[in-house]
Amino acid sequence: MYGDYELPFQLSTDEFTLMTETSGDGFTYTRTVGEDIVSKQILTDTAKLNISPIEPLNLPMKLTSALQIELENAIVIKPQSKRKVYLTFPVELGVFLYAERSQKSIDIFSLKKPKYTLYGDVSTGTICKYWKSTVFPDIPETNILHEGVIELSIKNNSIDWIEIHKVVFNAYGMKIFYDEDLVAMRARMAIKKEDTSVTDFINKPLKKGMKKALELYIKEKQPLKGTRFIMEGGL
Amino acid sequence: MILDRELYSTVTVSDLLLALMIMLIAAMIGKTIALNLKRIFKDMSKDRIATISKIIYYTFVIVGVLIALPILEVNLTGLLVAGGLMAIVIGFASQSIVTNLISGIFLSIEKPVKVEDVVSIGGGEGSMGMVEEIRIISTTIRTFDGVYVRIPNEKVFTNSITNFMENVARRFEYVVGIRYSDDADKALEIIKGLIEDHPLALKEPPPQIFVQNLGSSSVDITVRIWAPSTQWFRVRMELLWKIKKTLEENDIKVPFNQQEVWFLNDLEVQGKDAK
Repeated sequence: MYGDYELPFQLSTDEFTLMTETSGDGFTYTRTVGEDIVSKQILTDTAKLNISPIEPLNLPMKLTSALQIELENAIVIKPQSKRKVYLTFPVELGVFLYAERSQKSIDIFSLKKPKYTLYGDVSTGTICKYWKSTVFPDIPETNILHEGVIELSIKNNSIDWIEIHKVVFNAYGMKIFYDEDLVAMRARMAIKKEDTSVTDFINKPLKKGMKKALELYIKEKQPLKGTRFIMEGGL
Repeated sequence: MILDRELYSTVTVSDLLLALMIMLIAAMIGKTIALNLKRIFKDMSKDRIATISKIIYYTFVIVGVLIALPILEVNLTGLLVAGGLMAIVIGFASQSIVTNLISGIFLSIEKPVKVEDVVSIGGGEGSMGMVEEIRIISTTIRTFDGVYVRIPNEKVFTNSITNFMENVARRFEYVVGIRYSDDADKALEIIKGLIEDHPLALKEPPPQIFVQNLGSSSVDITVRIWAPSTQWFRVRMELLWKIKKTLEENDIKVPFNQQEVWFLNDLEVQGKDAK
């Protein structure tokens, strides 16, 4: 499903349809998800189209670069220890057009309902994209068009037992990989004390042979944006 | 040689060229640093970068002039005395400009408003809008009607400022009245569902939906919702209409004011078809 397509092409699932048709000097791109239809005129004779899972922070608008995952079942981790768990995250699908060395995102859609939340307090907090996930001991099975998997390595550096109810990530660090069965990221969470931790991502695939997804939140374009998220508003 | 030709006193053409070169280099260094600041600090607010850039640029220009003037045998002591007298005269003449300038400096330090913030300055609808530019003397605002308003910095600094964007989230409230005959529990559930469905109605802080008042004509349900400060007006408009429509679809209606009147005596109705 994800990957490169030569124009013109058509892709249909139960939930959406993507279509490019030859039209005059170029192509007409049409995407249908339920009643939401997007149509664009592409003026080119040669180009490739790529469908890729992207950072889930673009819909319904780019409001924040933080993703908060609330845990359905809280994690309790013992002092000075390291454990690995698996969470899910919502997938947004990016449609990119590229020719030679330049690429352009022409459409983004998702099959999951978006929701936002506030992490921290009203004056110093951060607006985050919201997602609720079960905590899995192993890689869960997911529909790759709906959800991805985050392998989260938690390191409790404190001398206390820590209970974790939520994790917040920064989109500028996200490294998404995909294959035919899985969309995944690998992340770390270093707990400093009861209500403070730092999260970031590992630029390696969860399984061998996974392809790297295209990125919209590129750190090189925003040099002052960090790739980590410092959680100081509670875990 | 032409370079050794004296222009006045012992100042030669080469002295003049050297002085010009020093001033030019100082201005160029100032400009280069100012331009690079914009490039390096892309994330810093535009107004702050602009103020810092101007301060750096003019500091270099002044330093350049101060270095160059002695080469041209300009006596700075004399200039300072004359400058002092001039300053007193100009100070009296341009008191309000100086007040605005100093207010502008304090505004850039305290930063109660930033470019693109939605603010109300000094109360009243006339000075409510989006900050377009914070200059050293004045601040410009674009009202929601698209009108350009220039406010002297002294007024901005001394008046009360309400900044609607300073905090990341903002709460709004509706009071929805339903009939006594309607199922209030069902109405609460419907409203709760609509808020949950709206992506921009924040999950945390949680919304509050409760019966606050048993009014004379209606059961009043209070709805409090938090939304991102940049989107709150849109959320407020969209949700109010959705709540109204969905309640009506479920036969829950907003009642008209009702008054029950009791008469002591039986009433006799007169008219053509009276019964």
